[in-house]
Amino acid sequence: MRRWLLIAGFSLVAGPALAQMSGNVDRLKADLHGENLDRAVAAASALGSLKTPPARDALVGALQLGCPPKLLTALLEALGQHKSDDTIPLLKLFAHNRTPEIRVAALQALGRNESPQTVGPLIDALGDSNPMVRASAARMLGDRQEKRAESALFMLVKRKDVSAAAPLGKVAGVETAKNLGELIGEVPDRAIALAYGEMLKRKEFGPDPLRMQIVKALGKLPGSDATTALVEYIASVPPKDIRLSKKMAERLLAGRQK
Amino acid sequence: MTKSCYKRHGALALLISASLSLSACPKRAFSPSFPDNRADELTSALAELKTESSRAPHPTNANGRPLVFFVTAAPSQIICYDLGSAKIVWSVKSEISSRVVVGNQQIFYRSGKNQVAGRSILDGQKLWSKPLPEEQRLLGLTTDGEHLYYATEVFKRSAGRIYGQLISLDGESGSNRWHRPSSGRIGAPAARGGLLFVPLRSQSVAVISAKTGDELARVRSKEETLLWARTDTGGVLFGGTSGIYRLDKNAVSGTQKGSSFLSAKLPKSVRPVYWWNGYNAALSGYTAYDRNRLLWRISPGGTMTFRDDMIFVHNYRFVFAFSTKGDKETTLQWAYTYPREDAVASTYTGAAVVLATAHGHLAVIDAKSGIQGADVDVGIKDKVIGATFDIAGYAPASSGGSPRNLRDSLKEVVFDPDRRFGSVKIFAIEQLAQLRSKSVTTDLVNIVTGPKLDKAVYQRAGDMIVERHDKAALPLYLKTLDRTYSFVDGKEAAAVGVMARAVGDLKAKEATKSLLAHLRDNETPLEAVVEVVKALSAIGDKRAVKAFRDYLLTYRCDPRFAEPRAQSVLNHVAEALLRLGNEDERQLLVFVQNDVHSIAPLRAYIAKALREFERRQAPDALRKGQAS
Repeated sequence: MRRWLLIAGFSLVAGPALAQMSGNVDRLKADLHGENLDRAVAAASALGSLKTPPARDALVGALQLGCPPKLLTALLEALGQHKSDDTIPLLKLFAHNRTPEIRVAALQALGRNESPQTVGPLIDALGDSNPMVRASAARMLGDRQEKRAESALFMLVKRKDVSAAAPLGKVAGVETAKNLGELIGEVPDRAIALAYGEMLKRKEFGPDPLRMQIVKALGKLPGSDATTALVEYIASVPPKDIRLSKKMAERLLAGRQK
Repeated sequence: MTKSCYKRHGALALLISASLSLSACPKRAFSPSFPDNRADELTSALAELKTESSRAPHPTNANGRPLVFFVTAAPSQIICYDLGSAKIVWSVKSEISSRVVVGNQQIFYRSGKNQVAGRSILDGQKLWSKPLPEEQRLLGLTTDGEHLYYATEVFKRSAGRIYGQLISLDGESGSNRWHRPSSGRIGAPAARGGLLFVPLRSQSVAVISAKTGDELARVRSKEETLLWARTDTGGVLFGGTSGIYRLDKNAVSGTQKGSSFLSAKLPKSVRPVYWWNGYNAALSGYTAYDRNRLLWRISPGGTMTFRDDMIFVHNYRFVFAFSTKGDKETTLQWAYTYPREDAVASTYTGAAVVLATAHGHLAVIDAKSGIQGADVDVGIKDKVIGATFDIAGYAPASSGGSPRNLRDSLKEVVFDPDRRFGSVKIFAIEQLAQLRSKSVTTDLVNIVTGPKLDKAVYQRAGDMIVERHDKAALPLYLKTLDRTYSFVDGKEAAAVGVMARAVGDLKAKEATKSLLAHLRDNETPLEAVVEVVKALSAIGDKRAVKAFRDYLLTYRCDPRFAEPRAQSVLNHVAEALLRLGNEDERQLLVFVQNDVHSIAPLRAYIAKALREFERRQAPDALRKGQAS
């Protein structure tokens, strides 16, 4: 009985709320196309949090009609919150905008959507001439542990793009770990340390003899990044987990602290 | 009669006697009243040159050795090199501030600021030195083998004009022989067969007796500025920048048509420096003019032609040989690149082109084939600033090689890493484009897609590709257009703008897909995007309409597109939409024009374009209405 009362009560509240919401969308839509840019940006943000099809359509419509870059960025961020597959083609278009900040916003919007359709544009963005755009795409691919990006990320590290190192560490397999070792001296030590550090932190990465090799390689690298990688590795291993590589890391760390 | 009256009559008598004496002596050199273009005077003056002109080219020095006199700056020295025996004959330190001129037994030059000096050819020993007239600028030196002749000038502030002077010194002793002042400007003289030929007042050439300094005849051009005089086995020659006149009986006409006149119809980019400007004091020394000029000789007697129908363009490290056969424009026969350094001096011996380089090399090139015969390191440690050649007639021993393919030679010029020579590279590209080989388009595409070139060179190569309208090259254009930028692979898009122009010119629909990809690609440079839009518009494929709509809407509010170069992209997109689109696209343009967020220049442009479009449409609509 109580449940029915609750449902009846909810429908009494939700009915006007939905109506209010759709009224809101119309008002926000008007703001989006108004002359006041700040109001338009605020409206875009509000439409992003509404996450309803009309709100999404309003955002898409505004993007399609074109607007100043500041509003464009806000629209893309808002659209990203909707995580709708329908918006992927439009976001892909903006991922090639001539303004790097807009490309980053479009890629972030794509990155929020877990759909496999978004992987391609993110990998393509690793080839962007702008380091900020590449870094953004690399980060998202790393966070998603996207194996398909492994070779492109490795190539970026090979081309001395340090921003790809940590994402590479998140997706790299055994072969890439070995190939990375051959880049020592060719690419900044920081890149190697960041990539190896991320690999070591991964639970599934192994076996331990491979981890041991990586720890040894880190031990040979100068600089604080290698030290941080060793510290973080030791911290990531549960106390009960007895690993030779961890012991080696501890020994190397002690040596470095001397 | 009063005292003052006597004075007055006395002055009058003096004036009369002075004017009588002037009229009794009409042959005073350089006189403004000297009669010019007189056939009888010129014929008698030139009579003694006849036997001289029939001789084959030969060195001036008494031993007839092929000698090259190198001049270095730090230390200042002259190095006499015998090209025949490949040996340095002598070298002496001396302050050399002019060209070296070579006589039979001596060489002459200006030493320091105000001395002229003579040295023995045999051992370089100094024979004499003489001061130049005070405050006079040296215009040029010459010798008839035995004596030295030089022209100087001075600006007289009181008179507000330049006065010249022609001076003759004895070659052996340096003693004064005669000097002749001129109330007008004179230029660097040329000497031959007992006569001197002196450019005068930029319009005439005075023929002066080398023995007495008297003027014997004068020719005056009625058409152009005369800047130089030169002697050659082909005769006594003079001219300006339009060509070469021969000093013969026809010269008295004062016109190109009436004179024995010759000019090479060279490509426009070639600077027509036939000889050193005799009025330019700076050119009495070795300058950049020695590195960028024309090399030629005239065939002796008969119709005036270039020796072996050839003229050569020396430009620093490059030599281009042109055939002057026929009345049409000259045709390039061969091109030569000296690989390492600038050639600071050059000469055409009649059989070979010889270059003297900044590091003391002598490169001998066969004039007919362009084959390099020798590249001799003379062994000079110091930097060479100039050289004087006394090697007329010198012919290199045949190297036996085969002539180089002109296409390869021109490509070598274009791809030369030295970035100073943009104009030479442009010239080489233009010549390359004129070749008939099918592979030339490929060469040109390789040029625009190859190592980075100067903008002007790149543009010219692009122009040449488009001008060829080469349909057979379409697959190559499409393949080139398919190249896109990727930081990951280190790949670059190549010559998108040029390729777009080429496929647009061919109206190749096959290129639409690639062009659309480049339009969307943020890596495509804006200059190239303009060409892509133009090409898509020219091709007229309707698939482009949507892309144009997206492009216009995306960037219509972007303030970066208010900058002229970027704005031009949007303007072209708007134009293309008007051209390819229908009513929907016109409505879209009206919206963009009216929306306050659109950038102002774009709104203004679209408003104008729409007005223009409506104006064009009105008569059509009227015609349709009438027809219906």
